[in-house]
Amino acid sequence: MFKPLLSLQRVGKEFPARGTGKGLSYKAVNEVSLDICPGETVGLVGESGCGKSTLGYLVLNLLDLTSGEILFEGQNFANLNKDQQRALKSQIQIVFQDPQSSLNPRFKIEQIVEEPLRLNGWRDKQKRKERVRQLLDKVGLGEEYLARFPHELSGGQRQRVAIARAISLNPKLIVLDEPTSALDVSVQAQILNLLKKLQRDLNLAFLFISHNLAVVRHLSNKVAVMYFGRIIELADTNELFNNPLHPYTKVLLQSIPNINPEKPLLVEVEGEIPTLHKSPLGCSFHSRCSIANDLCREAGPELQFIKEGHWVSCNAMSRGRKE
Amino acid sequence: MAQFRYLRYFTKRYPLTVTGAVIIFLVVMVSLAAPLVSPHNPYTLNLTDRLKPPGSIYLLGTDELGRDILSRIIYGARLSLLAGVGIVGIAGLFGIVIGSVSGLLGGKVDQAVMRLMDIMLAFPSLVLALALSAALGPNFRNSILAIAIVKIPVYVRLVRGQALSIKERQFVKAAQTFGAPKVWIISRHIIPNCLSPVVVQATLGIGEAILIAATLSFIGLGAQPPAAEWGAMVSMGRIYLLDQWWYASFPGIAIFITVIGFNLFGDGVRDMLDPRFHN
Amino acid sequence: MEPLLKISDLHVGFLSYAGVARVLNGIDIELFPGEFLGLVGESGSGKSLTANAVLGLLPARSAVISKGSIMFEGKELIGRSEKEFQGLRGKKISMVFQEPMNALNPSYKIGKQMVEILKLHKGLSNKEAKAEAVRWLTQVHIQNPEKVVKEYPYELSGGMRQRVLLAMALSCGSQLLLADEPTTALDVTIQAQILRLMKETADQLGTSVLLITHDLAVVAQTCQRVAVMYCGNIVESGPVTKVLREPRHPYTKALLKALPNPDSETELQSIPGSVPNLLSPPAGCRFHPRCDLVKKTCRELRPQLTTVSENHYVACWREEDHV
Repeated sequence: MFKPLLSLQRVGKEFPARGTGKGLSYKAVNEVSLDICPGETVGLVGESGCGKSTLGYLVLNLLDLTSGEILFEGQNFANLNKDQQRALKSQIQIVFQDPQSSLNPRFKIEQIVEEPLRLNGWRDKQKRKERVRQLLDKVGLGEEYLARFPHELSGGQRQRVAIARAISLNPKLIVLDEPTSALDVSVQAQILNLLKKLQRDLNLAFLFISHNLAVVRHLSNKVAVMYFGRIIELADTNELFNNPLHPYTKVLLQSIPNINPEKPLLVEVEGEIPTLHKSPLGCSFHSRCSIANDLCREAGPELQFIKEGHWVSCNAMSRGRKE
Repeated sequence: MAQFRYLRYFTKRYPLTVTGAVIIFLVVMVSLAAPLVSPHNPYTLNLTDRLKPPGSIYLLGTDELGRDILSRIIYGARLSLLAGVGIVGIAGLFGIVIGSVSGLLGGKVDQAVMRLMDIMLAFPSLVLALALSAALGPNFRNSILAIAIVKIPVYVRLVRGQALSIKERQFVKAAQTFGAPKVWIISRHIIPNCLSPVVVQATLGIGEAILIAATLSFIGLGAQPPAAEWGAMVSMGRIYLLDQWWYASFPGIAIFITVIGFNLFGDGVRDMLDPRFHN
Repeated sequence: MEPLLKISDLHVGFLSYAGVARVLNGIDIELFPGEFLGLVGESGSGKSLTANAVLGLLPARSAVISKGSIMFEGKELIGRSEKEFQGLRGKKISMVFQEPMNALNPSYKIGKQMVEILKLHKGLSNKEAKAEAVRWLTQVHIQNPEKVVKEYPYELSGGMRQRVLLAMALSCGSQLLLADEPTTALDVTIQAQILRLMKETADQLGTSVLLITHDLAVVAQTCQRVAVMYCGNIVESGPVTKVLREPRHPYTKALLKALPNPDSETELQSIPGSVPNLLSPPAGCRFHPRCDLVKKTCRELRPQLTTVSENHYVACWREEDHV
C-alpha cells in the first residue's frame, strides 16, 4: 500500500442557503472520504451542482471546511503556521476549465507564468526568466509567446499557459477542474496528452474533476462518482466502467452517447437532479432510482467496501449481501 | 497604411466619436499653444476699447476693461482643461484605491465605506461642492479639490462593483493558490482589470467637471478675477447680456462645445471598451 | 424527393476594419422532409452561422451574403425582407438554442410566452391558445403542465427550459427545426432525455431537424445524415453510419481519432496546429496546413464535394488518387 499524498476524511462543507429563511444551510459536500496517492489520477465525476468543484476548492484550501479534515502528506493544513501553510499551498495547484478567465487579461504570458515564482522567493530576474522559458518549453510553447497577451492565443495555447503556471512551483498534486471542457475535440486531445506526459515526467498526482466520462476514463486510475454532495461509488477505472454497482452510476454510463450509431442511447432515468432547496430525505438518489424502497426514502446509506478497489453507497448492496 | 484604414473605417462607422475626439484635440492644442495663437494679451487692459463688438481687430469683441475676449477664451481653455482633468484624476485615484480595497476586503470595512459614500451621494453634488469650496476658501485650486471630493463616491461605487466580480474570477483564485497576499491581488489583478470602466466614467465625467468648475467660478467660489476662466467670464458678462451679447455668449459657447466634445468622445470610449463592440 | 431546405454555394463574409472574414465559403446542404441532419464542426467552423443565415438573422450591418442561395420549400430566402422573415420564424422555421435561459424572456410566465406566439402565428383565441400551450407541454413530457405555465423561466431547471423551448418551437407547426447545440449546456442524463424527446417528437410530427453540434456521438445517436464542417466549408457529408465508420476526409478521420476511446489505452491522436484566421485563410483546401496527406494541388485549389459512394460526398484532392 502506498502512503496517500492527500487524504480527505469525512470532509463536509455547508453554505448558508439564501432565500429559504434564517439559519438554514445546505451541504455542498457531505462526509466525503477519499485518498490520492503520489502520481495517480483520481477522477471525480458528477453532474452540475453535485459538489465536485467545491470539493476541489476545499482541497486547494480556498474554502474552509465545515467538518472533517484534509491531510496532505499527513499534515493538517489548519494546524500549520503561516509559513508552513504557504509552503503547503504551493504543493497543490489548479488548472481551471476556462483559460480565458483563469489568466489575467492584462498580463503578458511571461508575467502570468512567473507570478507564482515571484510570490515564492524567486528574486533573481534572470533565473526566473530561464525558469519561465523552461516551463513554456515543457508545455510545448516557444519563446515567442513570452511577450504575448492571453487574448492573442488560441484556447488550447491558453490552457497550456495555465498548465505551465500550475507546474511552476513543482507541485505534487494538481486539481484539474474540467480542464478540457471549453476546448474543441482536437485540442482536447492535445491537452490530455500533455497532461499525461507531465504526470509521467514530474510524478504528479491529479484530482481530475469532469462531467465528461470518456475523458475521465482515459486519464484516471480510479474514479469517484458524486451525487448531491456525496461520493456514491468509488472504484478502479476499469472496474467502475465495466461493473458499475450504484444505480446512478449505471444511469450515468448509459446516458453517454456512443459514437457507434448502432449502440442506441438507453434512457433509464426520468426526473431531474434534486435542487439544493428540495433536498430529499434518505438516499439522495431515491427520487430517480428505479429500485428504491421505503428504507431508501428514510435512511441514507454509507460508502461500503464491496471488494478490493470498489466501494459503493447503496442500500440495495447491503440488502443483497444480507439475503 | 493599416492605421489609416482603421481610421477611415472608424470615422465612417462612428462619426460622433471622431467629432468628439477632434474637438478635444483642438481644445487641447489651442490651450497648449495659447501664447502663439491668441491675438492679444488676455490680461492687458485697454480702456479705450471697452465693450467693442466683434470686429476685425477683436474677433469676438472685448469686455468692460477692454480685454480681448477671444484671447481670454483661449487662455481659459487651459484652466477648464486643468479643472476637468484634475477633478476626474483626483476623484478617480481615490475612488480606485478605496473601491478596490473595500471590494476585496468586504465585511465591516466595506459596509462602513459604502454607507459613507451613500451619505455623500445623498447631497446634491453642486450644493456639497459649494459648501466645501466656501469652507476651504474661494480660489481655483480649492474649487477643484472640493469638486473632486464630491465626485469620489461615483468612482468608489464603480470600482467596488468591479472588484467584487473580479475577485471571483479564476485568475484571482489561482493567485491565491500560490499564496499571493492581498496587496498583491489588489495591485496586480483587481486594479488593472477595473480600469476600463473607470476610464469611461472619467472621460464622460470631464465634461461635467468642467461644467461644475465653471459654475463655481460663476458664483464666485472658483477662479477669481482677473483670471481668464470661462465660468467667471460668463458671470461678469451677464449684466451686459442685453446690449453686449458677445461678452457672455462666447465663453458660454466655449463651455458648451468643450463639454459636448468630451461627452461624445466618452460615449465612444464606452462603446469601444464594451466587449460586445468587438464583433 | 424534393429537399425541404437546399443551401447551395453559400458564401458569407463579415466586414471588419481588418478586411473581410470569409466565414462561409461555399456551403451546400440538402435537408429532406422528416430528416435529421447533423452539422458538426469545431468552434469557428461556421455551423451556427449557417443556421442564422437560414433564419435571416445575420447582423445586417456587418454580414454580407456574397453568393449562393437558400431555398426553403422551393422558394428563395436570400433577399427577403425582414417582415417576410418574421412571418417564417417560429411558424415554418424554428430554432432552439444552447442556452434556453437566454431564449426565454425572464419577466414573463411560461404560459404567457407560449400563448403569445400561438395567438400570433395560429390566430387562436386566448382560451384556445392556453389549452394548446398545456397540450404542447404535455407533448414534451412535462409533468403537471398546468403548474408550469404559471411559472417563470428561472423557476425551471435547464432540462425543463429546453423542453419548454422545444414545445414553443414545434407548437406552431414548423416544418424545419434548427437546433443549435441544444444539449451542450445540459448534464449527461438530461442530455439523453432531451435527445430522445427531440427524436420522438420530430418523428411523430414529421419535422426536419438540422442539429448543430460539436459532439459526434450526439450526431451518431440522433441523425441519419451528417455534414462535417471545417473553417467555412463542408468537407464531408453522408449517412451517419458511413461517415463515422468509414470516414474519407483526413479531418473527419482525425476528429474521430481525437476522441477518447475506452477500448484503447493509447495516446490520443490530436490534430496539430489550430484553426486558421478567417481574415487570411489558407489558399486551396483550408485544412491543408494541418493535414498530413497534403499534396501540391491542396495548396492551390479548393476541392469540391465529390461522390465517393451513394450519398457520401468528400471534398478532398486525395480522393483523386483512389480513382
